[in-house]
Amino acid sequence: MRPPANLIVGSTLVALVLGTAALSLVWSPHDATRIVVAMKFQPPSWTHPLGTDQLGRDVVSQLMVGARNSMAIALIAVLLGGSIGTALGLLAAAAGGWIEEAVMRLADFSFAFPALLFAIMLAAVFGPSLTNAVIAIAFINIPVFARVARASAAQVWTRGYVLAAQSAGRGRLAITQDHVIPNVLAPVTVQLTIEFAVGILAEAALSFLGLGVQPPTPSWGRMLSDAQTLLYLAPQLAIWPGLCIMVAVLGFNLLGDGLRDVGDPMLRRRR
Amino acid sequence: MLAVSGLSVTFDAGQALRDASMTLARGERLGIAGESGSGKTLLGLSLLGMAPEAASVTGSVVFDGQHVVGAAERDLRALRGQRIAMVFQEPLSALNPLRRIGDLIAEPLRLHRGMGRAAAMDRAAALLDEVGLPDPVSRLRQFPHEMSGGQRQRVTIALALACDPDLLIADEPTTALDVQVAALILALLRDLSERRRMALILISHDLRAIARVTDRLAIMYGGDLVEQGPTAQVLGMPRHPYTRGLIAARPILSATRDRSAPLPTIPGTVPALSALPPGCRFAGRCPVELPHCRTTRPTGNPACHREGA
Repeated sequence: MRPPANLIVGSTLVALVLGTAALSLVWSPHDATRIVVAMKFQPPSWTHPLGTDQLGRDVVSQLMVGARNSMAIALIAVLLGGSIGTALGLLAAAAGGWIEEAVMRLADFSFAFPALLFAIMLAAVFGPSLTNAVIAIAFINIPVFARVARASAAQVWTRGYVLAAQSAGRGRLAITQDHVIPNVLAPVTVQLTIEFAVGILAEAALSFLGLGVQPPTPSWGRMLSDAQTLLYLAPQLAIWPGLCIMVAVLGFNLLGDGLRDVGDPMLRRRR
Repeated sequence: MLAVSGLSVTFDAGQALRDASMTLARGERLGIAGESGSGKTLLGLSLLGMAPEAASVTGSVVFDGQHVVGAAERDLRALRGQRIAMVFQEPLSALNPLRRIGDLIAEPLRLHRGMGRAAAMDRAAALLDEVGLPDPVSRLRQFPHEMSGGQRQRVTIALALACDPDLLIADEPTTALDVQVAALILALLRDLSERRRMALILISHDLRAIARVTDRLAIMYGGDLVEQGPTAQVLGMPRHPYTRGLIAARPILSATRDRSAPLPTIPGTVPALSALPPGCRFAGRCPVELPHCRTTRPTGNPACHREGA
């Protein structure tokens, strides 16, 4: 069977972005943070394929290192928030009763705040730093994963094999581990991919506002905010990081959609 | 070995099981028959202390000196699977589709018996062999969807036997299977019970299946145990009007049956839980109803006001 188009395009874009980020660990054309004022606002050339910025730093190198930073932050934050949220969702489904109510109402409550605004608020309250940006992005992911995990887990808990496991003397923890988690993994993975895109966007937004990655560490959001004041002078400096953010977010979204389609036989048949 | 007395399970909507009493000796085979919604499955689950949380359970269930009603979850877990095991109706949904057969069977062995992986797998293969699955060793690596319905039901039985229970509760184990496969599974259950001296409770609406396997039979209606006794006697000389109706309503395959005549039925349907009559639950559908049947609960065996009157 042919994989769906969104999966192919999505994984290609994601591979491109992740590959670039990985490459920057070992090689970039220039030192991304080296300032050479004499070389500022260089047009594209063989030594600087996308030119240089207002301080003479190589744009390609900055984009590559920025990709690495954005990916790392989004990855750590989403995995952190995703694990906590998933654990809470599994707990809610396994415990039932008032614990389930409490966890899910808390999740509902946190949905009342726009996620990005909430992250900005957290970063603003606790001070702008990389760690706080990660915590803020992780935090907004908790209720998302709590919901996804609880919804799929609650479905598994009504299955015959859970009743059979209970009748065989298995406790809630053992059933969660043996039966619930394997069945919840697929929807959680899809959600991870999609939330990863949100995480990249959130990191860019926080860094843009100066609440995330601090200078001189390059990041797409910071490059964008630096370029903002120079929009009439050197619009290309805003275009490149913007394009990178778009490609990365689009890639992860398409990948998430594609994974979901592959995992859903009903959807597959309808196509 | 098992003594149930005065067991009642009440939901907000009504009483789904009323004052059930029965006993079961080691190695004995008991059938429980009745229509859908008569409380058969609930009775089976209650024996494991697994009645839904929304229900209030009164009365007593004692298994080998261990009280089940009101027991701590931890004690019940030690009972479940080890002493009393259960087999369910749908063999497909009773097996996690994501797990291999070998892992499914080895899991309780490793948990309850502390067996190592290799030893548990050997034992799993031996169990699959015991329930009549050919080529058990290669089965261990298969997933549930790779097997037929009858094979899957054999796997769930092997799973139930893993810790050598003293009592196996089979809740409509053959409903989802075709007739020939069902007959084989029933023969297997009977065989296993005899060989292992394991008591068996067979819950079914199929009187023929019950007659094949069990020594004793209990008939349920609307949450009441209306009649119990030796299987041959209950089926041969039914005394409760409901039992008589149930037996008369059995479809008979025969060339001489008048095809134009409608199949005999018991008029009416099982009333909803909230609309059960306070007296005899069968009042209103009973062909030999007495004036006080609706209001006074009949006791004894069979539980009928016509008896001994």
